[in-house]
Amino acid sequence: MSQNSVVLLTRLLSLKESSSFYLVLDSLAQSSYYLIQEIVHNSPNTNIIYLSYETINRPKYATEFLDCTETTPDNVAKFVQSNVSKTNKTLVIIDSLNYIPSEEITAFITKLANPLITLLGVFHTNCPIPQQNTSYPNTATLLTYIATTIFEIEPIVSVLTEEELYGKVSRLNIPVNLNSPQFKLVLTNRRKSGRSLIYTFIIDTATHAYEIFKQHEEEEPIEDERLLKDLTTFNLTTSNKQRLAREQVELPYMEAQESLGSAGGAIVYEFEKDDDYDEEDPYEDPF
Amino acid sequence: MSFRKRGEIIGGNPNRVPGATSNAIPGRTPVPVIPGRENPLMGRSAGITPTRSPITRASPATQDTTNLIMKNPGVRPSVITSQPTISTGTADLDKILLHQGLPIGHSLLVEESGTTDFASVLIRAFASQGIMHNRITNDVNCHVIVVGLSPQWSSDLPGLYKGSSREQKKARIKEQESKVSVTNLAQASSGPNVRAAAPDLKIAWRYGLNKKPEEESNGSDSTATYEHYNHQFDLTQKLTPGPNAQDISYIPIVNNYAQIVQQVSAIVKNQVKSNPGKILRVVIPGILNPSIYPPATASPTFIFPLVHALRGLLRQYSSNLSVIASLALDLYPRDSNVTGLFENVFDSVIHLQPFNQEMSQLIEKAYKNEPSKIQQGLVNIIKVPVLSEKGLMMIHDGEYAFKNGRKKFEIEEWGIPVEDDGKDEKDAQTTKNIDF
Amino acid sequence: MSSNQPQQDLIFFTDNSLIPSDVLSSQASYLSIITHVQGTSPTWLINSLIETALMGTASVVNSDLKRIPKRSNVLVASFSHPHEFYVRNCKKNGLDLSSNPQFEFVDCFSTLFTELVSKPSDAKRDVDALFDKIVKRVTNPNMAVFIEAPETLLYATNISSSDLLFNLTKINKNCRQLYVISSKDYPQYVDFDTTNPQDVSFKTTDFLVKLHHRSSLNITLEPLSTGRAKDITGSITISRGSIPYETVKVNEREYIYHVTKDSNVKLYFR
Repeated sequence: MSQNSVVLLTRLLSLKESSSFYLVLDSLAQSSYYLIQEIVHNSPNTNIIYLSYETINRPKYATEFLDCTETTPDNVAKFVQSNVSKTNKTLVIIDSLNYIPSEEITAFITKLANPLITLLGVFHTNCPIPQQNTSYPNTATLLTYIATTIFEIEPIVSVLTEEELYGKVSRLNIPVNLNSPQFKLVLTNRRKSGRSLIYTFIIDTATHAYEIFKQHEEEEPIEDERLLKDLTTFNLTTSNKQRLAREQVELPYMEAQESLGSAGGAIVYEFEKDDDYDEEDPYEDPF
Repeated sequence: MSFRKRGEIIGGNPNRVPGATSNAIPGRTPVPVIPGRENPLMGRSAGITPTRSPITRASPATQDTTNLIMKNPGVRPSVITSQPTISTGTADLDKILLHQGLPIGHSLLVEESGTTDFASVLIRAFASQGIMHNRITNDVNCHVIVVGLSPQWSSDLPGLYKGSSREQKKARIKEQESKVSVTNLAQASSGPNVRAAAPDLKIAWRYGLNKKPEEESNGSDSTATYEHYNHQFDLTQKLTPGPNAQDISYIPIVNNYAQIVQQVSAIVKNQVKSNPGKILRVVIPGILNPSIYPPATASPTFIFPLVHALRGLLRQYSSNLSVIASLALDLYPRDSNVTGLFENVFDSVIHLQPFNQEMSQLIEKAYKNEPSKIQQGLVNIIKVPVLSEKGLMMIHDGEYAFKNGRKKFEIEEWGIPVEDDGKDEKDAQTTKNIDF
Repeated sequence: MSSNQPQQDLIFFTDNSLIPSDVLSSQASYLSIITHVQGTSPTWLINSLIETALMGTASVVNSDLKRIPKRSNVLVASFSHPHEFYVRNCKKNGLDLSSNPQFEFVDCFSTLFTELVSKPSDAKRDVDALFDKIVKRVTNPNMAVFIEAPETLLYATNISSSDLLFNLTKINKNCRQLYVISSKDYPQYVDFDTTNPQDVSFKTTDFLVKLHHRSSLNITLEPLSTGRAKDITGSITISRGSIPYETVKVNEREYIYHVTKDSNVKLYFR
């Protein structure tokens, strides 16, 4: 089974699988640059049309390069259609779909559609999402819906937790060891049958090696148990039944903390009927 | 010699232009022009900004201009950078700005939380301070420009603190006694530079006027050398005589920011032209206050270009111009775009944060026997002129507190007072301040 | 904390430089971003980069870099400071910018909203024209160009983040190394959760995220998360951008640094 997934990935990366719209979702933590290089590496003899909204340097592999910042989406589509190769496969790369308004995105993609083309569009997921006035879906939703293959790129995080990482990136404090040639890839491939296949890989674009990503399950609690077992003659471990019961115990002050303690541990005095408050005493405790 | 009402000081003589006259306006030293190259000193191509004549051209301040400005009695060198600095009118505020004042060519924003308006105390003192500098001699050393308010604001300006009631009585007696010779009076109230020949020796000896002010020659002692640098203002006293048209101008808010900037710029240009050693103090009390500023002014395309253009003016007239403004954080909190940009564009920012009820009660209780120690709130320093721009981290949160007394606005180090048991009134002395 | 550690030289690349000569003479164009927040102004860093671009050394932050006479031309376009500011502060770096023929300054600050962009509510044409003028001043492709505080335009005018980004592209195409210096205070300039496209922080967030996607080198300055310290100003993090360099490698690193009022800078590894 795992072999099939790597085969599928390889076929997709070499444009051998019939899939017309590749959507690449990247972030500031891991750029799509290396994945695109990998696809280009796997697809020699391909006519590559590069549509640039943000790339300054024309890539060496690009057969055609268009600066889309100075023209309209319509003209871009025309340019593509007029440059489709009749002999080789054509790969159209759009370096960022974030510049096209959500109302125009589907029309734009449709205009670029062509049986001879594999369209690869990159979408940056960290850009702020405008709230729509209507219930029309936003660009990310639309793109993930119409894409036939989705490459979700993530960094291989080791030192920071995902939360910590996002916290830093969202303050534009990009930590070290990101944007690496090695990264995690969540691949979603929509088959013609309607089925969706989802696999996670670790990609190394330096060695062109692809591995299935194995999720490390929560092993720690079990390890602790094993340690405790042989420590003394007492039974220090907890059986599953005991563990379940323990989790269900209601901690006595949790509720109290929720209502009264929301002032952060402040002591809240509640004046009751029998309390005797002497207004004249200047040393009476304040409430 | 002229007779005038006792206690009134002569205002500036409009016909006198002190110091440099028009033919001595410092010019720029000629720059060698490399043939074939645009003059590198210009730093801008003709297409982007129009070239200006040297007189109205932007700074850099040449040595001549700096020397001229330093002669202004309201100016002293900064204690950290030596650049020309003016007093904000509140001595403790001068201190926490680190330069012993606000360096000329820079701006100060006073933010305030809550419904109080302590900021207006500081702003009014800033204006009064400038006007006081016109009361020293016949020279008009300063001009105040008020943006947004009506001219009635002039009657709200604080006058000099005349001392405690005992000191005031002493002063009155002194005045009565020296009333004998008006010449004496005239000389006593004039600045240190104006020493007429031989005052009545008998009276002079009696009042120690003959004593050579030796303290002045010791450059390091700030207050002695810069005698007229700052004054203490009393909220309950009205500034008398009130400011006249030479002292102060008013610019109304209009819907076109460029017009406001143009008006400020025109006044500054004219004032500096006639007296290159003059200090211009622009005050903008309650910026974006809805009772003064119509809703359209809160639009980013109005307010941001306005403050940005003022910053441009400050750098252009970096030897003469200074700006102070106050902002209500309840209207525009610190995390709002408006305040964020203001804090970026203003050279220095402080935040007055009055205590909440809990803390106020705690303080009042702790100092119930020493009401003069009661503080009203915190002063948070967000940005300090020149140093913050250089890259130093100058944010001081919760380190200072302010006391708005009748005598003066005080800022001191802050520590939460420890409540004593309070049983004994005599034990008040044991109340300690713990520095946090 | 810092007194026990040895002082460090600031380097950005594995060849121990701040700007590799390969980059200045390359065929490709690169973008580097310097971001900062309130309390950590990057003046000292920008001036050191100007120094190293002009003459190879970076005396304030790196004692090891050798002098390379007439190394490269530098153009600075600032939306927040006048020419005088750079002349005055670069004296510390041993530079006399007022008479250095390799240094050019475009003043986008002094008369920005009084002359250059006189109608902020309809500013696209003026802004495009302003950037065209800056592009004309990029006379030599091997120049290092610094654009300081362009996000001011997003705040004060009606232009969109794309308008600003495309204008920066025009400049970057013509020079090998473009530095964009921007504020990134949260939430006024950066707020990933903002949703109203009319809000200025939406525009600046969109601008900054997209700008980072084109960057090869990210340098960011922040105060210490633990609050104010007497002998530490803040931290500086150097990390790879989304686009790798062709021939050189970024030396990713976090330093803590201290700036004194005389503009002396000390750096330590974090």
